[in-house]
Amino acid sequence: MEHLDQPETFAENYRRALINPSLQKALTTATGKALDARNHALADVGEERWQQLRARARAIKEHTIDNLDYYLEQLAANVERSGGHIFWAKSASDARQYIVELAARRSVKVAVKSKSMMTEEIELNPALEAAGIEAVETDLGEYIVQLANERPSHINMPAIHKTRGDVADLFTEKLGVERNEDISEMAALARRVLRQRFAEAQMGITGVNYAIADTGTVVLVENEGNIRLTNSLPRVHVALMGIEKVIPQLSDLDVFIKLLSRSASGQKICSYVSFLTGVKTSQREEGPDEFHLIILDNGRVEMLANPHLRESLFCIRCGACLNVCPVYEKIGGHAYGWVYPGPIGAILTPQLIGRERAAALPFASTLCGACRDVCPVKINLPEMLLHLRHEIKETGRATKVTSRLNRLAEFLEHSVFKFWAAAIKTSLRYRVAAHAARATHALFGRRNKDGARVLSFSRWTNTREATPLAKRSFRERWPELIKSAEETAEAKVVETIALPTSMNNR
Amino acid sequence: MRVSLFITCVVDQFYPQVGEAVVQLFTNLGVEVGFNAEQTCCGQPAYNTGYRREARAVAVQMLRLFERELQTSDYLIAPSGSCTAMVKNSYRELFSGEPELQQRAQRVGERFYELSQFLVDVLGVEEVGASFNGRVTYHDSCHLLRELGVSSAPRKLIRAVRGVEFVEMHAPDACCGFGGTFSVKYPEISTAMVAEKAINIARSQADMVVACDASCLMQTAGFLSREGSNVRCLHLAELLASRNGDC
Amino acid sequence: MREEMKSLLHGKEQMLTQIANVLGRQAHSQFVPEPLPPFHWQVVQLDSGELVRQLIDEVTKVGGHAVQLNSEIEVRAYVESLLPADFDIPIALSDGEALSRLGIREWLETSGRRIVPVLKQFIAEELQPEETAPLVERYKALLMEASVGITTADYGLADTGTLVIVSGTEQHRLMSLLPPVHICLLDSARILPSLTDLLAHLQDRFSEAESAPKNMTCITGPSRTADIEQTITMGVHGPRSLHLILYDGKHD
Repeated sequence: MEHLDQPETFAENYRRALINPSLQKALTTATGKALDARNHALADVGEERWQQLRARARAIKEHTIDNLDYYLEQLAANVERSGGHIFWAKSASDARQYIVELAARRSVKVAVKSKSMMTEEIELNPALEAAGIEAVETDLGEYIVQLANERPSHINMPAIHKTRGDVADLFTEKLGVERNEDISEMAALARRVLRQRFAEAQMGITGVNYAIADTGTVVLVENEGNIRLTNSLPRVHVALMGIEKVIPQLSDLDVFIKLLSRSASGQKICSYVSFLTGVKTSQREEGPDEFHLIILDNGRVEMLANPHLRESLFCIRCGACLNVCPVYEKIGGHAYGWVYPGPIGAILTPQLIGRERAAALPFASTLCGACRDVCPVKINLPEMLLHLRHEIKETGRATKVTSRLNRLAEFLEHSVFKFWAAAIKTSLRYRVAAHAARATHALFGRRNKDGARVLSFSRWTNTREATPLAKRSFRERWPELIKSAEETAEAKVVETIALPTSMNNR
Repeated sequence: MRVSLFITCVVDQFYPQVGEAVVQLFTNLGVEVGFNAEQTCCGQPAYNTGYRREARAVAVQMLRLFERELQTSDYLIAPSGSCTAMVKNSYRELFSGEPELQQRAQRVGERFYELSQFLVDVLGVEEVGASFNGRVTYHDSCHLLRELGVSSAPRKLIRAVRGVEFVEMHAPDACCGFGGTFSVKYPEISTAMVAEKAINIARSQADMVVACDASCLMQTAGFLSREGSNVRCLHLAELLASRNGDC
Repeated sequence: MREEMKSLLHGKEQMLTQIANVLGRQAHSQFVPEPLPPFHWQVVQLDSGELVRQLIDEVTKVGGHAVQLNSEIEVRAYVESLLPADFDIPIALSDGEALSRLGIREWLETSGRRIVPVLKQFIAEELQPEETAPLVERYKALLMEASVGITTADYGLADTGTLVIVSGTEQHRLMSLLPPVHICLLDSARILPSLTDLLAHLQDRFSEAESAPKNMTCITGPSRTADIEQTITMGVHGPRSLHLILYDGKHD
């Protein structure tokens, strides 16, 4: 997996994304369509009922996370009771090892996979490849990025960054077919190629959308049908879930289904919702012979332990926050440098791979709050981004880049704010600082377009005119203003606008 | 009725005319205005950049100042959604683990208002005697809209200005890209966002864009000016203080 | 083996203990949480005629075809119109009871066409795994060659245009998935208003290990993807067309 963007090089990543016109066009179109579809689907439900659903979904998640040990234990017992195997994986390598060893025991040569961010997180494919097992992505978008040796750039639309021309080029290069940009024909080609792989595969690997504790049922949602094929055709089915995917009861699922498809793609429900409970007991039944559910920590227990960040475990991976984020729309998913992009990515990545590596991400936001408005489980994303910022600055975890320049920049920034804190401590200091700033402008400033002297700070002035400091601040003008106001009040004819009388508690 | 102004550091230093307009506005409405010159900053720049300790230090001071002002004034008014949200919402978080400060911040927050919200929801006025001839569009500042839930008040006030033709731009609630230090930490993204805002403003064919936050205006005006646009950027207070069809 | 068991248990112990501790509890505390109060979701009550109409509408909206037919002859004619001219192309026919009752099975099995039966008929008796394995592969290959899969559905969900197949009696898991055309018969009396009702209805069945269906699939429209330029295209993995035939189950 060479040349994959990393979070450490976020600055380079996003700059490259910004100057890529086809990516820009793809992002604007895709996120726009997804949002329109979502808004349309919401109008169907009605605002009030939508908010009821969100509140309930959050309540279920809160309750489950607060009692996670209980529900995971219940889930495991019920999966085992119906013939499945449970593996408790603390780390990514535990999970990888289990799967590779299982594949070896079952003589697996080809494994088919459906879209699973979790399998990206644990870097499963390279481990399988290293063990001589071919891992084939079957979701069309994932198949495309696999051929291209890239990561998916969106939680639900992995190949959002590719045009039809890009895909046509890719298929010609990797599959040896004649170049054809027709979308339905490219999909048909993928179907043919992947059907063959499905027929050959001895193992199917999926993620989990929801794991129902009280029945031991794993629920998977999709539009394409490749998940059904993955869990129906091969003899062994392995499903991976983070500890946060469990929900208490079958009836709880209803709320999430209503929210997930609408939030992700504007559908009332997606094409296929599969409920898998245990395994067959006879070769004359349909379905896999074996079912393995891997329950994975990989840093989530630590997330659970942090009361400020715990609610990031509520995420149901709908992608709505990506679609509405003005920053994501400009820089796309690869710039974030890891598995999870967008607002939720900026919150998960520092927690899962370390604040040092991902220090840039929580700052790459204006905290506009659009994400919080669309999150189906009401995660307070901006609050968590802020909290991560506090944590990062507090512990002095500068971006883990070799560059001494970055460490210097961090030091300078903290110094600026220490100076600022000192300067605003009293109004006297504030005024002195303000005068000093004006003096600096006068001496070192350049004239802007309107002829005013401004201190040129290229990060601003490269693209925007700088607003000059006013010659006389408001507080300097106040004495005249208040005098003039008093005079006006005396001379004033009483307005007929009725105003509430002053409160009595002076 | 007496209000005490929290003028905000940005208005104080960069847009004092906005502060003047606020004073003018209240004077016209017959509301007494006070200003405690000891005020400095609500602490938001440090808070948002991650420097909690520094932010808390100034927040505690401002809290004391606000409490003093509320002994002689009925309300605290700020011509800024983001500063108002900082005081009303974020001070609680900033003082977490300090219940006494949280309670004090809560009490102050109840009497702290952003300008447009105060005019419409508390004073109950929409028509303030202003007049301006021209096409005006409005930009929803993020904190004002999403933290404080204010969206119709500024629009009502703008529509009530005699001579104004109000036009809604596409995506008025799209972030302008300022985001405090974001604007200089990630200048290219910030610029890409304001460029989109500029396109939407241009398409609305407005002569003027109005907002309730001076920082949004700094960003938008800075970009529009560099692009050579003739669209003016004004704070709501300035529009509302305008007379004789011009401002 | 014992080492493996020990380490498996250790992994479970460790994780559950850690989680319990983080949540401020002792491990093995036998703690049972108070469940959340139930959630009441109001749905407009529709009569059976309205349910049928809504289901047909919604199936159509998601790109499926839905018809309500009144006689065996009509059903046969509709199915026939979807079958390939070439009798050598396999047709997958599940063991849904209605297919016999409506005469579809008899008609097709005597038609001269290549009919692929369900797996439990394909593999007639319990053989050794080495013997069944190649048969299972052959079976899958046949289904992949088939141009049409004919099954019934266990339920319909009116508000989303969803067909529900539940494993247990009928073997329709692969037949509803592999052939590019899926014809699905549903008794119009088995239409439920929504997923909410389905889950409530099946709660008891799912709660018992013995009765829980190994597989249940909610099918809404044909298979689709928008992964290339957000342009929707049908049939990338699952069926590209879905035909729902509603019949009156009382008519026997």
